Amino acid sequence: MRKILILFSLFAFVNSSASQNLSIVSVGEATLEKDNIYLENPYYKGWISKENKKIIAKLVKLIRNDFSYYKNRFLVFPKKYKNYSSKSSVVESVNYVAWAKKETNLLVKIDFSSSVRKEEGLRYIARIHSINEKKVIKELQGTLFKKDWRKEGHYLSNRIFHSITGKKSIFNSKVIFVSDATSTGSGKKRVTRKELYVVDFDGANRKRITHHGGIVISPAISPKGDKLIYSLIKKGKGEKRIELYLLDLVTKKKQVLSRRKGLNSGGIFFPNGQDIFLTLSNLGNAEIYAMNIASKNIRKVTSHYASDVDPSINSDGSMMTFLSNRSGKAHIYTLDPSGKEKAVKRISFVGMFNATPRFSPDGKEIVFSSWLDNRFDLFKINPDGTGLSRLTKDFGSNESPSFSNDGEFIVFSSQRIISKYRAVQNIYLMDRDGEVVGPVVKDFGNCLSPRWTESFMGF
Amino acid sequence: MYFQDGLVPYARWSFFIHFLLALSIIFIPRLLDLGRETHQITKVISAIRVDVVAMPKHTILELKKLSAQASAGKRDEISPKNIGPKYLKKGKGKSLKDLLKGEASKSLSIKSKKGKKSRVKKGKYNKELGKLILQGNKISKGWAIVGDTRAMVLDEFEKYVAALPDYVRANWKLPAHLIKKDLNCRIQIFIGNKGELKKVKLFKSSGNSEYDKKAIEAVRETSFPIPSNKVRERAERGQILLGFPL
Repeated sequence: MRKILILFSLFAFVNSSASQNLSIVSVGEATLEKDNIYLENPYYKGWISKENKKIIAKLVKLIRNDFSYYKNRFLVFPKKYKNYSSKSSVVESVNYVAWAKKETNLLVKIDFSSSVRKEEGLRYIARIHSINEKKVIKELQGTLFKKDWRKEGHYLSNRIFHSITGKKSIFNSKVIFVSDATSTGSGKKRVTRKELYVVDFDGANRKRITHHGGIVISPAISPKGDKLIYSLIKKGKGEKRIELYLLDLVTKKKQVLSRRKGLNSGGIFFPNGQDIFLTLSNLGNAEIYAMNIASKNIRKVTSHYASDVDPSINSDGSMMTFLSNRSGKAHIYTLDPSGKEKAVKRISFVGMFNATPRFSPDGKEIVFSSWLDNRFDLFKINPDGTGLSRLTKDFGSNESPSFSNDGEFIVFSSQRIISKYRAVQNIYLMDRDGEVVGPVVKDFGNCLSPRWTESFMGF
Repeated sequence: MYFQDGLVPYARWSFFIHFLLALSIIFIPRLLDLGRETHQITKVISAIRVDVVAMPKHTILELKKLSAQASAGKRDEISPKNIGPKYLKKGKGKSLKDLLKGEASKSLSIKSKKGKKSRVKKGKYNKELGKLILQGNKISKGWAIVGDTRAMVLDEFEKYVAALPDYVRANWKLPAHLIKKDLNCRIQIFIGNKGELKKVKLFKSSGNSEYDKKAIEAVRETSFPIPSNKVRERAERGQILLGFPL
């Protein structure tokens, strides 16, 4: 019996020690640790002309500048940029242990070599070394031409970025915008002209798109970057007309898509690139319609006695956000664009006047401007109405936000009052949390309505 | 005697065999399934209820900055006393007018200290966060338990546990090559009376040593809140698991 009692007590002990009460709590997803990326001086293989060396130096500087946009993701080294010069004629082997001591995660080495024929450009091989993994994670090859060095630089930056993160960057992107830089005169003699322009995301390579000599407003670009729609304000005898234009960026041909009475504006492309959504007021009240570009047939999407304007579509076309005063004030709504007044939902309930709601590329957020403290500031909200958060403050009056192709940045126009008679409006870039990266277009008249595009054909 | 002499050995054997059978039913599955957790684990989460009453006054960056500063500075004891509204205590022989006078003088004394930066304590940021809550960003902080989506009242220990992610999250960072992987580990923590980390134990490994190391580093870099009297014993016995991410 004693043995049995011993066994009993052992059993009781084992059971009591095994069942400890524990409480578990989720810490949540980790934030991304910054990568220290070191861009080494370029390597020259064989003879390279002085002129080409200058281009290579510019290219390396451009890649370095590109990566600095993602300051939440990368720390670019060396910290101070000097003119890059030839490191060596031979690509040295990498001492991973030494680089690890410098707390470098990634090392980029690019070597250039001249082609036999001048017109074939400079050949390059970029090697991305992972210091932690002690190996080359990607080898990228390409050709650099003098006239396209900026384009090739952004292209190479994007390939390096993609090799590291597995995601697309903003480096090949452009921004289209409206500017009154061609306006003439001043005071009562001033003739205001607003035309469309395109610029690289970093502010370089600005080009003019339209030459109407009138006032162009609310541009939008197709997902492929081959078509552009915009409205043109035309002043006739006693009336002002707003017509909607389509510009084929490949053929450079333009045509009027809609010249109905009243508003023909606020056009945006549906993800298929074949249909657009626009605001028409030919029946007296501003409503949103869908239009097929080829047939020009229209279909009513909103139908309410209040005004519905400013549509924006998510990337799969399943949801539209728009502005409506059906509650008495300008507020943001969502609906299913496949029908008429289908699944309409109000998502903003505060704010004196909300405007220009725009979807993020993943459709998980909507950025918009709202009138607060005598100016417009930018805010974000989730499509279900939750997660209202503020992006800008004490940074002028900010309007017309547009998400970057990767959803990490927002381009917007910002106005500053200089004097009673003068204000300037420039285009700025900020990250998705509202940290201003810098100006995209500055001191080029009043710039407004920026739209981000990943691709832009024909210019 | 209920048994005849001849039956007693038989009864003893029968009891012994049945006892062994019972033991084998309990122990054999445990021996065969060594990876099975023998602990009783309760999942706890914190929940924020947000009632939007106005456009947010503060930007995301301002909130992040304040939150990071508060997380670095807050070592306040977490107890029900610190949660919810504070009411004026009615003293003997004091009228409401007297009480209000007292409160008014308190606010005045705070104003007079404004210029003296050196006297500002770390708890300042908590107060600032408190103000933000009233300014439309967050209205109230609530608690809920996972598994049952209906909000349940948590006991004091669970409230303490639910508050911990806010402290650890700022240090929970992964490099790009790990963040893409679907990994999960659990860390058991033993917290002392003053909120100090006494012991860290890898309760469940992710299978990736670098990931586990990063999770442990995040815990070690964290300043934990001081547990209240009711919580201390269980916190010290290591009854808290932190899930990375769960």
